Amino acid sequence: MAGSRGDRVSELSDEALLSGMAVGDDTAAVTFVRRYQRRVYGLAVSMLGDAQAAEDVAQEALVRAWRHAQVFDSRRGSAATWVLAITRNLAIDAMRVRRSTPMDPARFLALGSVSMDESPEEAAEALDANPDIRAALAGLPPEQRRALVLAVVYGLTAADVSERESIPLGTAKTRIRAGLQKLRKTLDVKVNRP
Amino acid sequence: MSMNPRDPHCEKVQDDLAELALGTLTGRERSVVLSHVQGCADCRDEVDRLSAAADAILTLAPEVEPLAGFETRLFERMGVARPRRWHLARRHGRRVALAGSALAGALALGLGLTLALGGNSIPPAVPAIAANLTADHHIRGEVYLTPGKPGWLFMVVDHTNTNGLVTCRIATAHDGTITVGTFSLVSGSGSWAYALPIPADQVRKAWVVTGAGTVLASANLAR
Repeated sequence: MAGSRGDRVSELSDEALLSGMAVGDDTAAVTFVRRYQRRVYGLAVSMLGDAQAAEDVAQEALVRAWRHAQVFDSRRGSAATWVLAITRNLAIDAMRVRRSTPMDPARFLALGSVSMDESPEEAAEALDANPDIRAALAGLPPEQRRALVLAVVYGLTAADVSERESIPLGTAKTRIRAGLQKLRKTLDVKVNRP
Repeated sequence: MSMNPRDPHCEKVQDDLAELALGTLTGRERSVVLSHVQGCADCRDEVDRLSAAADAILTLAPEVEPLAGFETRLFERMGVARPRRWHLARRHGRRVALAGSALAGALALGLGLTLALGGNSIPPAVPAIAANLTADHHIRGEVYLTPGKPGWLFMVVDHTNTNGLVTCRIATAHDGTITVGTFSLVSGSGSWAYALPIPADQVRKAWVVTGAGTVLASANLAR
């Protein structure tokens, strides 16, 4: 039965869907889009704060994932981080073109239930999805958390962070580096070099 | 710290590795750090780890329902028919290859760091293979092979009179036969994907075999 094929495809892993997309299978593409469109759009609208601009970015990100599915390499990370990294880069480009001011990092974190003001213990208790990542982020000192989100999510340079936070450039660099290193150690990130 | 503490060059660039990983380092600082990282495996690994940690933060973004009509507009752009029924994208024995520029473009998007580090990690433009599954000169579906580690086999079976469990077998370049999976056909149709136990370019043929041992259809995958 035709419909049952879709049901089965919808149960395939991300890697299998990308494999199908790489060879032009429409069903795999539709399933992948339906699986990720809310996350991709959610990241774009979190970064841009504008529904139409977020749609433009989300659409372009998913189109590029479709066109370039063949180069996805599961050894370098998950399909989720791959498509979200594409979205981030496009959103940063859009922000630069629009010269829009990045949203407050607290808003991104609040959307994800990690507060800028909570203690690590309080924040960790509020965690639900992505508990390891949320806990790792919640465990950072608030000033490192802010600098890291401004740099990672909004693509600000250390100089931008320095200006925005009214801190010396060296301090901004240290906060970004220290925050990212702590996160990397907490998450025990390994490198799988092809 | 994983970098070599005795190497003064590592010490000099370590403050900037995080920004390089985030893609926010610019100008002369970027070229100085890049030229060091290209020749230093320890720093390259550190940048990769920091980049992976940064990507993890992105997964905290909330799920938000897009505007009405998002899907329709997107599928129009992609040239993908939004299926009321699940049609197959027929690819009659074609080979699919992405040009080097497309590979580079995609890597620049999702894995910008790879290019920035000198491009050693850019995978070769190895084509995927697609072939029809046939029986008695009738098309019964398709098989796709994509390279990688692991490579993947993606199989679609349609228009058969068989229901229930079937087995997929492959023939290798070394004259071996491997059973890669058993799955169900419902109303004569089914689709599956497998991580291959051998490199994709060593697969020569694929069969779908019924529970009674009859070959339902086969595909020639020799390049």
